[in-house]
Amino acid sequence: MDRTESIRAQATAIMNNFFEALTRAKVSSDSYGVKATKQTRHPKKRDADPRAEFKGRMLANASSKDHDYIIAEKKKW
Amino acid sequence: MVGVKEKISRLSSGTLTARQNIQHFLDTISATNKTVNAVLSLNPHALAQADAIDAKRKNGSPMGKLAGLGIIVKSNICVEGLIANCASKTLANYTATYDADVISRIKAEDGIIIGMANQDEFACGISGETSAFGKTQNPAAPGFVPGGSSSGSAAAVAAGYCDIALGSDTGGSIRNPASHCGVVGIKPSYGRVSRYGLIDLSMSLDQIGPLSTDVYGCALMMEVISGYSSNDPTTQDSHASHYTTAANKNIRVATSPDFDKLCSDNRILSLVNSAVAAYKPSTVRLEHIDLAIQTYYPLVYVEFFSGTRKFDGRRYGLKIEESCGDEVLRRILGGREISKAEHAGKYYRTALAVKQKIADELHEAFKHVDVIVLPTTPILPHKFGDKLSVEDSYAYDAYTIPANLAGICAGVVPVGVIGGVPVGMQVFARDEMTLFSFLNEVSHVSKR
Repeated sequence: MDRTESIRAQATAIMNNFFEALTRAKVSSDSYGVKATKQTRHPKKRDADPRAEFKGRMLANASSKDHDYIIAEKKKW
Repeated sequence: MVGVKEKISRLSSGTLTARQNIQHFLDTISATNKTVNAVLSLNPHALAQADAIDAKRKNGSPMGKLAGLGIIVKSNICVEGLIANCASKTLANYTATYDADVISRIKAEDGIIIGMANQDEFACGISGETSAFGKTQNPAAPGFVPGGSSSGSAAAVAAGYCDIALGSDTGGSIRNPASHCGVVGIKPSYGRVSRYGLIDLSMSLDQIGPLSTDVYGCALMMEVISGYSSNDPTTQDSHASHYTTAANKNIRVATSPDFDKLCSDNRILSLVNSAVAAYKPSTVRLEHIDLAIQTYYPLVYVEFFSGTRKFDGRRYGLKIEESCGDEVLRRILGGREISKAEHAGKYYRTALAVKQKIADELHEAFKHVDVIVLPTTPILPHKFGDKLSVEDSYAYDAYTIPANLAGICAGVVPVGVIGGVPVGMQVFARDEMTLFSFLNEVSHVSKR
């Protein structure tokens, strides 16, 4: 098991132990906070390294550009 | 070491110049910091700034509250032109491009920034052992860890490198090292001090606070850094009070039997209880206090994961996952895991719900008492080289975390030593005026 996977597994185990302890407080996770039905994070879509497409996405989103440069004027973007 | 009040008196009278004060600190750092490793970098303009303060005083100009005092700043607080690396390779050479609000206020009051303090990496730690730039030693108890994560800040005060230091406290990171190093440390109420310019660990829990050799130094710094800021919308809309002169003879003191089960070393409990025996403390019940650690860490894991997404290697140094230590990586990966859509927020929302229970119990207690006294840590600091499990490390926070969860203020004053190791008494209070009223009175029992 490589370092990252080992640490991830350990962190997950700790969180699960802590969550189990918190159930003693007899609170429901539904009783607090707002359930976000949209805009949840989907690891499969997001956790791939986005650096390769970052530039393309930034330029695609820009309202004004000049070749590789985004032109950002105050209050216009 | 000269107390802050006495130091101000000497600076005001001219028996000590700002240059002399700062030069003394720089000489002391030069002599011992290679061993202590409390300071990571120095302000190259500190002496020139001291000269400017002296010239200002000579001209008869009105002087700020901190005129001529030397301040050391934790490396997760931005000081324009100085390295804010959070003791991590991720930000190894990151030079802050602006002053945090607390720094602007210190400079406006003629305080002089001497340098940047070592810390646990990204404030993720309790011992001062996880900095990417080497461990910090404990000047008050050689061989024992100084505590963390504001390890360098506490050690700098204990080693005589500054008059006052700034740290940050998310779950005890000012109070833990203050106790281990035998100095005074304050965690303000949430929102009392602006977090603008603090590189966050957990935005809903972080606070910047002072450490000093005495209560006066901390109270003075709190007067300077407290107050509303338009840069931080979570700051309270109130002006700072006169903490240096806070006094109240009728403070209602309490302890709680619920603290006893958390303590692994009864000598600590005995020392703290004997320090306040004369106040005949009443007792309060805090039923869920033993769930503080399990409540805190899911919140921190998720908020830290969120806060570190900006360290992606494009703008602020290296990609954090590729350059950080184990504890930082643990919090990121754990936060990533439990915030996945498939869990529907159950970890975070459950922790929020228990956080509210703990907060409600403390606020209910403060309807009947003014301060609650307790130990700072359940055990004495361990020695360098001792192996601790992750859970044992987290357990150091058992007494400090509740104040962060409830958003209340808390302070630590030295009350004695056990086996040569300093022990700090912790005080929870409803507000800073009450806290300083009690600390001003009780600090005479501190033994160094």
